[in-house]
Amino acid sequence: MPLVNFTTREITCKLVYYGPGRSGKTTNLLYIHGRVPQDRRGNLISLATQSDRTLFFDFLPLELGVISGFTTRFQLYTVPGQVYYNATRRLVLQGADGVVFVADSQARRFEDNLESFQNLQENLLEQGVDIRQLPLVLQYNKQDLPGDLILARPDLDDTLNFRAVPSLGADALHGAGVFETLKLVSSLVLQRLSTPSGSER
Amino acid sequence: MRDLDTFALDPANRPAATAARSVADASGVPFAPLVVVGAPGSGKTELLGAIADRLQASHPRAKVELLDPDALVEQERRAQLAGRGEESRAALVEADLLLLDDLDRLTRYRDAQGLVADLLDARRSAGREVVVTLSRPLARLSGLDARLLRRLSEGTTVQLTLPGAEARLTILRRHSGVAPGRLSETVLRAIATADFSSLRDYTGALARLSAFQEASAVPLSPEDCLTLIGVGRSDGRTVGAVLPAPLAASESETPPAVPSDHDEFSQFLSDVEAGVSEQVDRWRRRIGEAVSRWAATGLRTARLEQLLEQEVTADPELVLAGYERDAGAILALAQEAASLAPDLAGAAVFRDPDQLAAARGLVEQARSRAAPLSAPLARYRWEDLAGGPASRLVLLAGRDIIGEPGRRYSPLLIVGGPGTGKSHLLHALGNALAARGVGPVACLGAPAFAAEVRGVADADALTTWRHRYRWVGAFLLDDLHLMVEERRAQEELSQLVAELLEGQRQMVFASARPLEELSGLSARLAAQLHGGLLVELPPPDREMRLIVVKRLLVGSAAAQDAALADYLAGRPAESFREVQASVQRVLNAAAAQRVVPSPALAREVLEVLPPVTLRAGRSRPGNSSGILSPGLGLVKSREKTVTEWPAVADRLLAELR
Repeated sequence: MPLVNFTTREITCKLVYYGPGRSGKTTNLLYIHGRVPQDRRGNLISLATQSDRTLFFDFLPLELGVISGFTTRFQLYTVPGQVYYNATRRLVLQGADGVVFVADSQARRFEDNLESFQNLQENLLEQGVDIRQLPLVLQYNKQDLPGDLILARPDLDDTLNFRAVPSLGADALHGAGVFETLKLVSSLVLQRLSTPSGSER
Repeated sequence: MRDLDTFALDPANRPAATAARSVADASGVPFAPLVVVGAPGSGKTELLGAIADRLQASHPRAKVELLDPDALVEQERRAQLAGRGEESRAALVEADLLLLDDLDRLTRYRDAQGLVADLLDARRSAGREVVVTLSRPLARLSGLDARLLRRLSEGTTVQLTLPGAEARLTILRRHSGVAPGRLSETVLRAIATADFSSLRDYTGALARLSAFQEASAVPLSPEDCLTLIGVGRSDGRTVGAVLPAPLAASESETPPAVPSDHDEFSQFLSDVEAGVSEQVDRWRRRIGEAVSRWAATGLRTARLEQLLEQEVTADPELVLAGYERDAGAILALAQEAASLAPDLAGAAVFRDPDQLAAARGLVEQARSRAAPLSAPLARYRWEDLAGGPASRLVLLAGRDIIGEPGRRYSPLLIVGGPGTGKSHLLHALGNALAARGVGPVACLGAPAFAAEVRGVADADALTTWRHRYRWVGAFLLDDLHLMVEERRAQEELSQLVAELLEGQRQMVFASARPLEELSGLSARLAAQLHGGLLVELPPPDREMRLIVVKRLLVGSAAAQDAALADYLAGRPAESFREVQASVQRVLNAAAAQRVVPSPALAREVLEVLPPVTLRAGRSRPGNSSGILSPGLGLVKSREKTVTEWPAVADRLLAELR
């Protein structure tokens, strides 16, 4: 997917929320959906199971209007976190311009976070994408939970953020850190606009 | 010196004055930036000047940059052209204080908006202050990009209104101090209470009245002044009454309240807008830099300027890469053209990467022209020619041609019998033209020209061959009379003459027979030659023969024998070739008899023995073989003696070695 299409004068950014199941990816999108004016957003397409688990993926298109002559769109996706939906994750990950890795801050989900993060790297690698070259933000969700249940941000950084990418804590349910995350990953993606690899015809 | 306290006289302007004082004293946290909004003529520029004055009064070495958009853009443009763009921007970032006046005029310079946004960012990061003035509130500005607007809205905005009469009086007093004609206090008070809408009107009125006062012996009264400046009192009171209260800021100038707490999506959107604008600006700046860089090399940059003038419609990376590729190619072509054909190097197509195809075509032509032309023989020099009455006319014509090649006497046709020096003259003239920078110079004989035409195999080769001559600076053709049977060569020559005439190139032809006798010459070519100057080169007169004889005797035992030289020069001769033959016979006879050449010996050799006549078959007109037959009976061998190659005696007056 082109990041900048000079023929149609469009900028389209595909952002993928990645992470283990129940880490809060869909909650991020739901919160964003609730804060975006109706004329700026499309329908949030969410294919969920009866138990509210994402079966396929969530998709939230954001129309940001014409900026510097370009019709600017952001497309927000989530992937299904469950291990057995890896084929879907790979599909959604294709052509991503930026990734938000939503980690569950609960100590008991430590291994799930690691496993999902490794899965992210593997899936990117399969698509020939070097994770070091891709705009990536780590969001440590559920930081609002009692301190004895969660890992502090420095601890999560130690284990997950060995690439020293931007990270921040969040409480997606109540919105804390949700837009900050979105702004952070957006700014990383937009910084690549003026690089030769960031534009395609 | 401008004083910030003046502005504090008005309650409405006190916040602006306080903020300005804080900036000048560096006493607070930077406003990053301080945005002063005021209608035209409200004193914004005065305020910036007052800030600068105050800072420099306390810190004389402080570096303050006060620029308006025009000056900023011009400064940037000059820096780019000088290749010091980065240096110039760094200086603006590192200045102790940056004051940007009338920034809303930046809407005219879309390319510079990113630069200003970057400046604001960089100075904020460095903790350095920027003060910006605007004539309209931020919310009413249009044409400034989102990132710059965002940066400005992040600063602190203060209002500036037209100063009240008291403040105006203070300002007028200060201006009056440097005006040529001193005005009285009552006059100043009258001006201060006049009904103007702009501070500039007050200072302008003061300047006019000061000039009037300077020229007038009678002190102006307040009433005179108001009459002279053609305005009434703003308050309708008498002069000297209590000054009116300061004008309050008009409702319309108050900017709408900027919501201090944007909702999350708006903030996100604002960030994205700023991010996209910044990236687009970066492209624009890269393109702008490329425009400056390539323009400095003399290349046209219309393709890149088109990108700047419009919204970005094509991938700038691709366009930039394409332009730079074409620019490199066209510079290489220009270089090649310069080496092949200097007259082509300045062609406009070599300065326009959009005309790459045309440039390639020209270089192709230059390559075809690069085939070596027959040049004049270097040893014949114009300055070595010595003239006599017989050759005076042709030498005068040659001198004029060298002075103004192509403009006078083109074509020049020299008609003279065999051995009269036509070829010598032609080569000497060619060398003189080449030395004058008329190049390239083609100098060849008609048989060689005809042979070239006969050797052209096909249409392509003919085109290439034509290109060789089409671009010559001068064309000199010897032995025209030998081309009478060459119809095709005549056609090509006629076409070439027409083209060279149109290009005002110099042409010189030499013929052993007059045009009227050249029955085989095409009417068109004859007419073209008749259009030029025809000069006859008669047989050498005695004066010229004497010069030649003396030169021929140089190096012999009779070099100083004036009587011998006089005798030899006095013998009639139809050509220099005959003169040389006579001298050579005498020298050979002297050598055979082992005696010094003398007039007696010369008489014996030249009058008793039959003279050697050059047979027509061997000495065809224009033959310049230089091969002479020695005197019969003096040398037993029938071998020919090569005296010079080519024979000097075949030419006009040569420097004999």
